Amino acid sequence: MTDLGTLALDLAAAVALVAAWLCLVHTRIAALVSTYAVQSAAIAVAAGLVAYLYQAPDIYVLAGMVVALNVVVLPWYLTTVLRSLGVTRMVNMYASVRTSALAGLGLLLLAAAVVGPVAPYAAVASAGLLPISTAILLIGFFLLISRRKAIVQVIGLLVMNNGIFLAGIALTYGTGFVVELGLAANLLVLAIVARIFLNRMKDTFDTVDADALRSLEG
Amino acid sequence: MTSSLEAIALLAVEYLLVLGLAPILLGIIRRVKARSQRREGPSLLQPYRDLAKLWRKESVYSDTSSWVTRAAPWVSFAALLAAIPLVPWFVLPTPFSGAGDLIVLVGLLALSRFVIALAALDAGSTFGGMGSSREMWMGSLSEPIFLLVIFAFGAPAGSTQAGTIAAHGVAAGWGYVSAPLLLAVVAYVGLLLVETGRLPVDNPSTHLELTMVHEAMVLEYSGRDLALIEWGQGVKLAVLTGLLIALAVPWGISSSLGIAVIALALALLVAKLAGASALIGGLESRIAKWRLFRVADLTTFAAVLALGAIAFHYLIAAGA
Repeated sequence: MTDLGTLALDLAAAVALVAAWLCLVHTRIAALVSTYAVQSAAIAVAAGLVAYLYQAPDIYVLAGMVVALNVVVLPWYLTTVLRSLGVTRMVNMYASVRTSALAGLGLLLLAAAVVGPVAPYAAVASAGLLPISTAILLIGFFLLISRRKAIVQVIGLLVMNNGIFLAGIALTYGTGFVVELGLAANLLVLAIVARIFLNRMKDTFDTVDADALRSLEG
Repeated sequence: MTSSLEAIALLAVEYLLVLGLAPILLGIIRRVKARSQRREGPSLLQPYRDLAKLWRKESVYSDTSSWVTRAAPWVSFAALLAAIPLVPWFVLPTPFSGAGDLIVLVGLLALSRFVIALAALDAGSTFGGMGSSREMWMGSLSEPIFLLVIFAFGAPAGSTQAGTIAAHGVAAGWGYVSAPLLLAVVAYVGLLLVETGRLPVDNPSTHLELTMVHEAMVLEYSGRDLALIEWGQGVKLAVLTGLLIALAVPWGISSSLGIAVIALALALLVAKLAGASALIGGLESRIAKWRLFRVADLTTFAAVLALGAIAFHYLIAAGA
């Protein structure tokens, strides 16, 4: 029988997984942003639990950083971007909602098959954490390649980052404080660059559909 | 083990409880929805008054309808009554648990759905046919996935008997909670909305025939037949909510027959049922009705969650 702390860790990871799957079935981008915030919150809880269970106080700082950046700042920032772009829905996705949902299941199975043999060697004694974080990484990647709107592709990248963060926590209590700090700074820069890029794209092509970038004439 | 006399007494309590509480669960949902719209809303007892009023009225039948229309409400209600003992309500082992497992329960719900759909076609009205077609389409989506969800719940206990699963949960305590359980519960809640025809799948309080699903099927009914159908809707809601409670939060179900333990288990059950109804009402006030074909997205998502829970149990959790 597992202890309560590991149980709570498993549940937080499961919430993050459900949120990742939900990202695949949303067609409203605002709902996608808030689901991303929920997922980040679950991951922050997981990080806090790891810090508590394994007496690794620097992970508390990382968890706080996730809360500040991924739960509050980035969703707020993405919402203002959405408002300035005036896009609300995803249309003409490369994969339909149902296909995406089933792909999400396939990605969990893939993650379980690939990292299953490695999982017992992870630093954190939760069987689900590593497969789930790998699945979140893959789901973010799927979001990145299966949606047309550039803003959704940015969110896909952010979901991938959540997966990487969780995997780092599971494997080594975080990939080192300085590295994580650098990653977080990168995310913020990414979001700002993405905004400038999206605004230029909107001005030039009158759309944020990444397909428009394939044609040479504007 | 319980003697057959005790089993019959417990069964009688279960029937009284479920049949008596079914209307008030609908009342709670309506009340929560009304309050979230800043209305006072009808009294919690209003569904009882509605049922009593309808029960006293005469049923009117279309000239073009056959015996199917007359028999359907009774058959449908009987199927739902037969489903009540399959759910562990407040005592374990469940009285007459040998009668069937959760696959039988899904079959009984399907039977109840089928006869009402048949009756809606019987009178030949356009809306009835439309309602049947939609309801059977949704049923064909939700039933196989409901079975998957049951397997997801049953995997840790190795059984499809609700009583065995709940007993496993009570015995395991906190150890029963797991990531697969969470996935299964989310999937079940999605299917609960489809099966009981709540928002975002179907709006039970709509007056616009074109958007109706279940309501369109029962447009032809009046009087005592309509009362049976509406009561049946309440019983179906109670059975599915009760099953969710027994599978997701089984703690508090009594394993012995002491008066005090049973009374506590009963009080807990009523509180859990009321809480679950309030949650359904809250969920309903937060979502708008979807267009019909989005329902397939919801059931696909439930299937992904259920299969994910099963895969998680066998591939990931078992390896630890």
